[in-house]
Amino acid sequence: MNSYDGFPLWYRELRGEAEKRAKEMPWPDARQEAWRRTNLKRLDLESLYKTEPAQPGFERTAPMNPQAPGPDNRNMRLSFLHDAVLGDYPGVKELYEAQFAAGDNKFIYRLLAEPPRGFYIYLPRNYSAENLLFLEDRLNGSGGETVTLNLVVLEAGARADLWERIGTEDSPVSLHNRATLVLLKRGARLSYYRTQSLPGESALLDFSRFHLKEGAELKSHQAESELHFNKSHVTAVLEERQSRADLRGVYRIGGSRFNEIFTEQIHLAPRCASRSLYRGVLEDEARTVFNGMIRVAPEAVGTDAYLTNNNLLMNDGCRADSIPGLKIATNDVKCSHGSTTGKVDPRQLFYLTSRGFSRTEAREILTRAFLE
Amino acid sequence: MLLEIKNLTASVEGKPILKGVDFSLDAGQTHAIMGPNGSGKSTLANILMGNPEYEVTGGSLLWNGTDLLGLEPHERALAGLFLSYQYPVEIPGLTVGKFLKRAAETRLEGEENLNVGSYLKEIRENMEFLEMDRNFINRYLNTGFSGGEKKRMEILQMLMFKPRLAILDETDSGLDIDALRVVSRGVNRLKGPGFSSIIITHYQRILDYVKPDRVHVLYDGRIVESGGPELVNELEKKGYEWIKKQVRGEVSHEQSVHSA
Amino acid sequence: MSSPSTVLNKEEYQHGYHFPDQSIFKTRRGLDEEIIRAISGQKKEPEWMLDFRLKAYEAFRQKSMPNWGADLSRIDFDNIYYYAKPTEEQKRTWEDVPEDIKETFDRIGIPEAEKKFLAGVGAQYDSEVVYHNLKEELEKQGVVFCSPEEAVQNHPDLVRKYFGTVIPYRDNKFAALNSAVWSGGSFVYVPPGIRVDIPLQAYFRINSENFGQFERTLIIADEGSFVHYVEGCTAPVYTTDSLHSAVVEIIALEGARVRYSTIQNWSGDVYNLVTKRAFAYKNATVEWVDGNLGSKRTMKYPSVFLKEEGAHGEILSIAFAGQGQEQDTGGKVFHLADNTSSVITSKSISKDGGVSSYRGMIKVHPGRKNIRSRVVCDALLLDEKSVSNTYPYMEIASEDVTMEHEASVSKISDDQLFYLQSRGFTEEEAAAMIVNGFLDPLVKELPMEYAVELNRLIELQMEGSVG
Repeated sequence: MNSYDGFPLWYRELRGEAEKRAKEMPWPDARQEAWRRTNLKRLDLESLYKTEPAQPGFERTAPMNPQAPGPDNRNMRLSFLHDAVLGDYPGVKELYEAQFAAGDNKFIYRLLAEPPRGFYIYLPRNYSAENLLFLEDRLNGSGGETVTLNLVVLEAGARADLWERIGTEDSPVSLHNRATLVLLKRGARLSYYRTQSLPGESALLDFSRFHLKEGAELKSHQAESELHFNKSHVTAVLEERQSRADLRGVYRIGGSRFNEIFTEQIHLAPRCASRSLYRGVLEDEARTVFNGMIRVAPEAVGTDAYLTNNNLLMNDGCRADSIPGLKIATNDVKCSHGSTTGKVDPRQLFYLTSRGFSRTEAREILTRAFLE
Repeated sequence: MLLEIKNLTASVEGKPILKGVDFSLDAGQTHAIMGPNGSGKSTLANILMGNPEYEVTGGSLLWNGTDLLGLEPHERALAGLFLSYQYPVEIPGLTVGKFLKRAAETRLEGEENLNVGSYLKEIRENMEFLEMDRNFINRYLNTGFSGGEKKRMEILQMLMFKPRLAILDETDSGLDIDALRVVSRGVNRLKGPGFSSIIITHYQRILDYVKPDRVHVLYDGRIVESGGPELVNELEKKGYEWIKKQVRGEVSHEQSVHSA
Repeated sequence: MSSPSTVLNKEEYQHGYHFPDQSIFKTRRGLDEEIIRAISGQKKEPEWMLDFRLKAYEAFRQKSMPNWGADLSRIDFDNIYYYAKPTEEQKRTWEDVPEDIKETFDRIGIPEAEKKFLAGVGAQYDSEVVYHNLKEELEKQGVVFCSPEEAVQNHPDLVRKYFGTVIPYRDNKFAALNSAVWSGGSFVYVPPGIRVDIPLQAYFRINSENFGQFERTLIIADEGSFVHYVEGCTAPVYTTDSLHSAVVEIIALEGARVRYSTIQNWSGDVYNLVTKRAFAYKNATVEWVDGNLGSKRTMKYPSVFLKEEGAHGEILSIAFAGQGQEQDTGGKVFHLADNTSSVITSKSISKDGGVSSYRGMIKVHPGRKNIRSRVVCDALLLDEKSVSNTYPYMEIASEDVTMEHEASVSKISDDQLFYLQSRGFTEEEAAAMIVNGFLDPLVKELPMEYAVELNRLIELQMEGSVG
């Protein structure tokens, strides 16, 4: 359907290879560590992929910004990803290639093989976005898979607060395969908030990545509401020295929902710092997996990295797996992780009920306090 | 001359701290080095002990006529130097008893064997003298000790190793009057022809208990004043501002004395 | 005996002794049914044990190699001797032990140790227990401490009841291999209410080139009893790869307490792949103290199944990975009952490019009440080329749980090094003292002579490591 004429050569090659791998590769299974605890049977992949590909809610109509962003840019710009790839806008190639290199499963290759759908946000050098940027992804599926990519590029010294909301209009239950790829150049600072308001029966797969150059700073906040199937993989790559990444997330899961979060803090350069703090509350028969990893390359001396996961289990029947890992290949580091899993503290519960709250109210107060 | 420092210059992380220190000390003497914060007092102490974080950029350090700069820290320790640290390091897992015993063993000559019984007795005696709880011997070195306990542990080591020269780097800082008295008693116990000390301090307090033969004022990386014990009182009265002004040449020495 | 603090000189402590091989019965290289029948026949085993071995062999052939953990691709199962018997008969007294074997024991200090602490010594030279000495009062108390071969002959009821129940032969490929070809090890039975106050010790040693050692240990602590079993291994230096694949099963019945301590220092070419598992019943306690030095690859995760209320499991793991070594160790605890608790403490040291990995599992089964678990992993990296990995798995399916996990990675601080140097220690001594200090909280849990040995081994490993 799409001939990709006019697209840059690198893109055509990368896309072609991704398409080939997406076709050849089997679905991930328990033999891969990252999928060992993922119950893919929940997805019914066979019938999902029999359905025609979805028409995404933001299908390209006309270019929003006819001019490509570049060094002369004074203003922030928002483009359709299609235009950004076609025009080889700054950072597009680097982010696509990084995602391709990290590809280890069929879903990621599908992300790269499908025609580019999504947004591209560009902040020029030293540009400081004063208001909160709001990006709403309306993933209107047709009962099959939706595939979307958003790219965010902050040039050196740029600053922004970005809120990304993943939602949908009324549409059949679908599998949403997506990623937000972020490039923070030297000294850029981004606060990123991601929320999600998909219908509870949806399935979401997210492979977001953040690449940080020298002195860049990222604060990422991720709030997960419950989905039938939700697997989110957040990777921060500290590529150049003295960058800082702060990954935070909360999840509150009930019913018989499945939620899995992978975080990776990859330290490739000296004197970078990263934090990963994820907290979750589980109810009913919910199942969560938190799988965090700090990787420190031999070059990354002076690394300061921390990883923590806390789970609150509200009743029997739910299950929390917590696997905070470390892979450290040099000794000049400060790396640690912690994990706790427990129930609502009965003393706190008693204290609140003795102040007049019902047991249910008290539990709700404590749950919210835990996620605060 | 036991120790002779000539035109010593040194820097930390590339920043010059000592800018030409001249200093000498005879066996059996007690010298005090005073000075405001940041004047280079701790740098001097660490240089004497050979801390690799401090870089000697010029000058000489002679110990009994031999070059100290060529010696590793442990060789200096075995040659009779001892530094009581301002902030002693914690070493979890290494008990005080094991540490002191091994330290004694490294100080044995030739085929000599350590008499563990009498050594232990000596440790206990010294602990009693410093009013330390006996249980300290089973605790991990400096780990979880209060500030005062750490300082006493430093003095205990000094009593056990019997150095020829002890450098006390702000040993008095953060001590209450009782602890200061105990620590001073430790220093005075060793006093004699074979023991010298350099007391580095900000205040005159400790010098009420340990009487110095000579007093030096270190300011901005140089010794700017030297004198007898009376210099302590002068400093106490006028404060370091006086020294600062004097170095900047705003007041002459005579003037400052008269105006006091 | 020299004091724990003496720095050892190398001549005094070379574990590279290697005596001419005097094994009088030795199977050919490789493994097939015929060899298993020969091993069983040599041991004059009853039919049921031969059946067990043959079924296990079938499982071994079917099981695939683990696809995680250390790299085991270099193991050549066809190039290994699976059985060698060094002397004709079981020796009961020291005088009867052949001279070169005695000399080996002398060098690792067996008779010396015996005079001091030992209740009984079951020392293993190649596959057979050649020297066995059990103090009379223990026998009078009804305590059984013998080789598993003797147990098969003399205590068949106990063996049939418990052997292979904690670790079934089909558990994993290496447990299956051990079940097929096991030889030597220890069998311990402690009757109800008996406290064995002095540790039972066995000193193992591989001394045949390319010879896999497959010892099998079964410890049964009956109700309300207590026993501390200690096992240490040193292997001579070999040029070709050797395989050590042991199985250790512990059953702690109601109210019993079992502590199992190991210090292993295999030479740098040994694959050390051991399955250790314990069942703890009502109010019973099982403690594993597991120190791993040496070897080329170690994969060992002592486990405790807390099967009934009030049971407690504790695992202390120490690993030291030097050049070319990979220590993949840790522990697993399965909380299968209410009011159960566990603690895992791991300390690892990596040096000269060595890789230490902690791999652990805490599993709380659905609906279990009042579960407490704590896991602490500390890693020390001695240089910039060494590696530390941590893979803690926690699967919690109950709300009434207090689960805590902490891990940290650090190096020797320059401040600590300088402090000790300024007290008269060389940089090397100072580093060894700090490393021993790092391990001290665990080493304290070992019997005295093992603590001493571990400290010495660390000092040996640390030689030439800094400066």
